[in-house]
Amino acid sequence: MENFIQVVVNGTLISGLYALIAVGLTLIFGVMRVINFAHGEFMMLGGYTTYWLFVLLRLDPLLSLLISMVVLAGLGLIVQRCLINPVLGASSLNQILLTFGLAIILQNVAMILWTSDYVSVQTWYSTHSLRVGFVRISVAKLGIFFMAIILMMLLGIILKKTETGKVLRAVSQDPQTAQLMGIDINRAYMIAFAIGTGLAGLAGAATSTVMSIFPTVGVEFIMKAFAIVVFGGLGSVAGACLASFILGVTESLVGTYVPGGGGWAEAVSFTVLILVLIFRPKGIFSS
Amino acid sequence: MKSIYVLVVTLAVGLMCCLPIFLGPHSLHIVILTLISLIVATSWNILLLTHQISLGHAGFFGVGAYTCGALCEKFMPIVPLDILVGGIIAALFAVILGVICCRMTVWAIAIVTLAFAEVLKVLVIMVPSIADGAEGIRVPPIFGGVGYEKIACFYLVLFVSLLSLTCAYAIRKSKLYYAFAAVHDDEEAAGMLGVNPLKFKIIAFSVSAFMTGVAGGIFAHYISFIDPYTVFGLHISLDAQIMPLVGGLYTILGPVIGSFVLTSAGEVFRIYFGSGYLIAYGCILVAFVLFLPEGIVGWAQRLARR
Amino acid sequence: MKWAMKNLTLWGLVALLLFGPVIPSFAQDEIKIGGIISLTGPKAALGQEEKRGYDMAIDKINSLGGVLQKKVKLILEDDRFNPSVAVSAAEKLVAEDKVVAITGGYGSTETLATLAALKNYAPVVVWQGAGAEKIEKLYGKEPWFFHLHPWGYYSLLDLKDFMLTLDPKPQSVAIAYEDTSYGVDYSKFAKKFWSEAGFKIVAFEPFKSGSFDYAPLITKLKAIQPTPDVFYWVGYVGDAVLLIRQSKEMNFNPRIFADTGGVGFPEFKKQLGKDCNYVLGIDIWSPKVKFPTSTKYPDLFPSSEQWLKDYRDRYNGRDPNYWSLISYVALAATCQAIKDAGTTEKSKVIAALEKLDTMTPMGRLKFGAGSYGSIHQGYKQGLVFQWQEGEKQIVFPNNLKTGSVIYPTPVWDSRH
Repeated sequence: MENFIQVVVNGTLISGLYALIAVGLTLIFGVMRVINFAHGEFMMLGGYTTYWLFVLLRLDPLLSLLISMVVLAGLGLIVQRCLINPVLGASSLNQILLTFGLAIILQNVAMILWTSDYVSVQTWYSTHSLRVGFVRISVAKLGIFFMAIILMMLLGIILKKTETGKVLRAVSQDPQTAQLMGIDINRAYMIAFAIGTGLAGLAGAATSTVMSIFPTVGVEFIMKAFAIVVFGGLGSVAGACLASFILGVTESLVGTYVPGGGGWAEAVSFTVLILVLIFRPKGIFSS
Repeated sequence: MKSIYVLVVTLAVGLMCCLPIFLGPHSLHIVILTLISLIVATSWNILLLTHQISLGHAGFFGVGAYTCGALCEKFMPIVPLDILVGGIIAALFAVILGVICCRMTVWAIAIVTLAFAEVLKVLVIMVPSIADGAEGIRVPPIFGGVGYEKIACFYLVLFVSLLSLTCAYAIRKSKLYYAFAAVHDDEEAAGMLGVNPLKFKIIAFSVSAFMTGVAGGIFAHYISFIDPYTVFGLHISLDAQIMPLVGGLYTILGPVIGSFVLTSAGEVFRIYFGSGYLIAYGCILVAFVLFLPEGIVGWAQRLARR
Repeated sequence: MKWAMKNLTLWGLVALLLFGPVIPSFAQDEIKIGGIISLTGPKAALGQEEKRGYDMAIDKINSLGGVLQKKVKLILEDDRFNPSVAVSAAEKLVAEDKVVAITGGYGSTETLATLAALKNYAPVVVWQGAGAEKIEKLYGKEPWFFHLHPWGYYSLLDLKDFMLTLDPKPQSVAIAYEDTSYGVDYSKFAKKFWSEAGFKIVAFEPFKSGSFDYAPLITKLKAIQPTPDVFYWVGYVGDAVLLIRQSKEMNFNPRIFADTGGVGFPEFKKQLGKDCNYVLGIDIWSPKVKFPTSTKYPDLFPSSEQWLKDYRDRYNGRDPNYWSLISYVALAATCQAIKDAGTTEKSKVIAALEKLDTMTPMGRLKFGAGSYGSIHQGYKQGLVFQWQEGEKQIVFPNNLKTGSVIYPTPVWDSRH
């Protein structure tokens, strides 16, 4: 039983990280109808930003988390302006290809600038853990989890209550009508993309504190993020959060209780994904 | 006009047939790999005709390759019959996938096919009794492996790629093309006109998978050692769509030009840029999407029209 | 007409792209040797280590006057950690560059694909990497194939011998391995040798290579009662770092943490800091073990201390990983064999390599038989080390010891 609780806790903690990445991806898709293959690379860049701020300025990751987010949101704006905007009207295939090309470029630039060594930020809380009975809870992961929850709630409030949020939702529901209603659609795209890449940067910063960062780290995460985004319903923020949680816990359960689980965990998440798409093609949380 | 085309095609094929005389083994090797990816790209392009984007052609490729590997290692080498068997098994998988995908949006199909390839990869890795798991498996060469193996392989691949192009051409000239186009443009309307979208989507899927499976089988025999990370790798699925895009989507010539241009560009960059060559490769992709989205063929056609 | 011109230009461009790489480079008066390593891709960190060793060797050889009065040129090919690229690189080196010999290697899969391609040409191959037994079985008997790195199973035999010296003797072993050919090969032999030696294998678990969450694995191992005495895993640096971090987080306390791969890298210590302590690993070389200068080739194979000093001077104080050194030796030995043979003729170079018997900074190099049928195996000995106070101390074999093992590993909660 204690073991079972530990397994669920493990899965829950990791799901915060998944949510940060997946929500950015799904937001960008929801508003712009573009699946950003370079999303994992934005995350990687966020991780390196935090790492270098730590190495050069001794800046604590708690502070540089925010800086990474802002830097990456800025970078996202530039990319959106120069690269994504011109292909918005083009076929989805072109968009896949463009963002994929961008991913290749970013990965390899990182490889040349920083080599492919694994790097990570070491602070006192990186491997510190709380003991609750038999269960161990990593302080840093717990922090990331709560940060993710707070951010998701904040994002929810922004989307629901603020003017900007309403604009984003209007555009995601029907871009043509939104435009006719006098909404500046380009501005909405910029905001969505910047929030998305900012969240990815934040996720990368978090990853560099609890795990490692290397030029191809994004590839490991992006596949899972796809699964989550589809699972939760393309474009749905709340769905992505719930899907992250379910996937995180499922993976943890499979990884622990199935013999050879570490090898199967990946396949299980994809199998679940296929099943969901067969039976609930709009995601499990759609009505 | 038509006779000019025939002449050009004949000349091109004739030139290709003479290639082994001019090329050294390494260049020939690159041409063989290019032709293999040409087959995959052509078959991907056929699937696209019904507006289904696959990110998982590596799955079919791997099934073809591993059928050959497992048959030769566990039973007996029945070359080249095993290549056909691999294609057929890949097509069977495609029928299942086609049924699953028939009601999905383009994005959902892309992600399901991606997941399909990944699941197959994990299966092969985790069940070593299929074909030695992650350790990989040796596949005997088709022509005995000595002397003229490479040249013989070249002609085999050339033959198969011409077959696949002929197949693509036949589809274009047949009624099938109109059915595909109807499904591509508007499924519901097609259904109302008496074209069963499910049937044609599955046909496109299985034809495409069969060709890709055959390519995988040839690849396995040619490289003579395969492992799950290579034949189920994401790069195969990506090459399959990048090549038609660069050459020109929905065209027959597109995948041909795309595969040759991209492979040669990759090689040239590898030689001149060293470890940074992938940056150049990425830049080409981005540049094509931004400035030449209709591909080389589309560009040439636009120039011709002027 | 205009249309035709434009089309011609287009096709010309295509042809240029297509045949550009084929234009022959003009032959120069130099001896060409090929190297196939992963300069890019997921294992590029290792490839860079290998490259540093190569660069040092090539400068050294040329500063000593080259080989057969000619300069030696190393043609490096990047296999991108991808078998079909490796095959293409091998083909290029043999068929176009017409190299005298080929060195290289790290990953087993790439090696298997490369050797399958090279078999048709049978050039001289002095391979410093890849330890999978499958390679030995398939190619070990080939007269042209020379292999430097100890086969994987030697490491596991060494670890077994080491574990038998411990008091109290560990009873149970949990094995985890990455799901690649490297992981499968090593874990297979760990299971075989160790269960034969009387250890009980209580877990045998694959994990995805390059995973980022090992909490499920650790939770699973932790649930085994009693706690396994030995936790042995096969993985890369990143895996090793995360496994240790998450063992700490979850307070998983086997008596021994051991790995045969990633823990040997400087990155392991750099990323873990104090937490790297007490982890055991296997190196095939250590700066702490001193080997004398070669009597036959004192310039090419200096003492291990001198080599280390040269390396640090050259690379701004950076500490080498053994992959740098083994690559250095592979290239240097190849060049020396060509020198000894007095010709680049294949059979004579092979004969010279077979005759080669010299001290190197890694120990004595003499190609001999391996355990599963290979005829040209270079090194066999492994050094079991333990991270102590942030340094690797050799704890086995006893004649090369630089410290004694701290056993059992202190539990996480008692460490500060």
